[in-house]
Amino acid sequence: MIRGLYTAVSGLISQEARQDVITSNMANANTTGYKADNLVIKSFDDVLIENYDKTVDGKRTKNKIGSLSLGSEIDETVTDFTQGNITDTEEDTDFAIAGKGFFTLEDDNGNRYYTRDGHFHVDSRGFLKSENGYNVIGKDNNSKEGPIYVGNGKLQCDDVGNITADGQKMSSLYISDFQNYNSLVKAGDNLFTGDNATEATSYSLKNKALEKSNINVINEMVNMMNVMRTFETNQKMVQTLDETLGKAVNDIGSLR
Amino acid sequence: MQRILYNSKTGMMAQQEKLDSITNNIANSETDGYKKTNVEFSDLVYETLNRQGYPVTKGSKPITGTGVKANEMTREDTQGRLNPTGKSTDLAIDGNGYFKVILKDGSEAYTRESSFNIDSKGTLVDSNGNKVAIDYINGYNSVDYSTKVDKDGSLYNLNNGKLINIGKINLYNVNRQTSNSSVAEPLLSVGDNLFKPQAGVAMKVETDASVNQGYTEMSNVDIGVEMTDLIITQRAFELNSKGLKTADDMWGMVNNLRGKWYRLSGIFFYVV
Repeated sequence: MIRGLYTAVSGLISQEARQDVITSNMANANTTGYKADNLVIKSFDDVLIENYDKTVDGKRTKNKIGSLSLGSEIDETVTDFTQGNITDTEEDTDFAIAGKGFFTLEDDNGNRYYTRDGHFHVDSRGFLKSENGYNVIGKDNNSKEGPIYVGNGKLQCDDVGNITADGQKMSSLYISDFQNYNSLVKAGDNLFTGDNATEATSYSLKNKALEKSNINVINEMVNMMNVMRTFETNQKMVQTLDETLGKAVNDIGSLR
Repeated sequence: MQRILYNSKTGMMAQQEKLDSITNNIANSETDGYKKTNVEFSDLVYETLNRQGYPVTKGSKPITGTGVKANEMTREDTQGRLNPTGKSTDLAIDGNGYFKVILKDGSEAYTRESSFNIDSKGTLVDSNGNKVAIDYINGYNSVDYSTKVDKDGSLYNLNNGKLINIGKINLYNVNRQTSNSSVAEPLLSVGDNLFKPQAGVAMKVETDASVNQGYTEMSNVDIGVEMTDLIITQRAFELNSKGLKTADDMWGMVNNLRGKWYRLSGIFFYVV
């Protein structure tokens, strides 16, 4: 009974953790370039349950009952990298990637970040920057990677990322991709950090467009209802076990 | 349980800020020269779920988000539609550029306003009485209602049937080649359709834009886009409020784990 109590509680805690992730997704329903997270819950490894109910030659011996899982545990958070919907905007500095790849950003210390949020702007010194002030990396006319300089010119971009300012080609957007998306870690501010980035090949760029969050609102609502009711079921289990324990402690052997 | 509550709270607060921006845009949909504001969102830091007392598989690193924040409002500088009015003092800018005005305290500001007036001294002023900066030549120092303004800003007066150049209204823009501070919004709005450059931002004379006499520039707000955004924002707000309610219900269930309702001769009792 005590064991059952802890099993039910592990269910409660796992569902609460899943709800954390679901509400985090819902809060980001309108965030550009957001990729939904899913929490994977798996059951504890089975343990062997045995008691001493078997009698052999008049002596009590171990009796294997079978294996039992002791509850559920939180396994990992999996990020869903499916394409979000692309909407048109009016700004020349908005970009969206259709396909696999990430915009490459670099901060002032040379750390690389990757993002699907293409809401950039040209700052007062003429460089293309992301929302939080990081330089957008592109390949210039000598194929050298570096920040993209636009200066005073009017920015235009084609399908493969070539950026022209007043008709003169300045840079092309450097889009990174990864062999294994499992190494990507979310770092907040719509950024990912990852290792071993290579140049992406299977993508197309859209200028004057932004990629919306890829969360499916219906999915999140249904998951939330699911979690809520599972939580309620586990809670009822705890209450039932509590009652049973109460009877075991108080009523068994009482003379009423 | 707090994480669920706060995630939903950040969602609702962020959508609220976007709503502020949308309603401001709608209120200014008829303001000449108004440039709409945009609000984008960023997710917040991620934290580990490997907390004390949480059953986590050995060696795995599950994480959860902590919600969303609304970024600073940015201006969308797209061109507004030109509305023909026929008034000789209406000057609309087509392209990227600003008029320079001198404020009453002597400082300079920049504006996209298009409805100007001529005061009793012959000075071209905006709707707040700020002087438009004009480079006069040949001793002229005033304009009147018959002054013609060319597309490049040159002013001509009709004198005995001949057009005489009396000066020029220049258009200005941010000089991205010589500014030495790096800011996202080089021109800050100070209200009344006026903008002032931030510290370290240099301005230059803009030749890529044109001045159109007899036109006003309308607001660049598209009501269709704003209404769609309003609906999306409202529904996102509602979605997050559902998350908040669920968090509340879940916590209520936990609080009621111990303690049941009993009924004794028709009256309900809650016994802990």
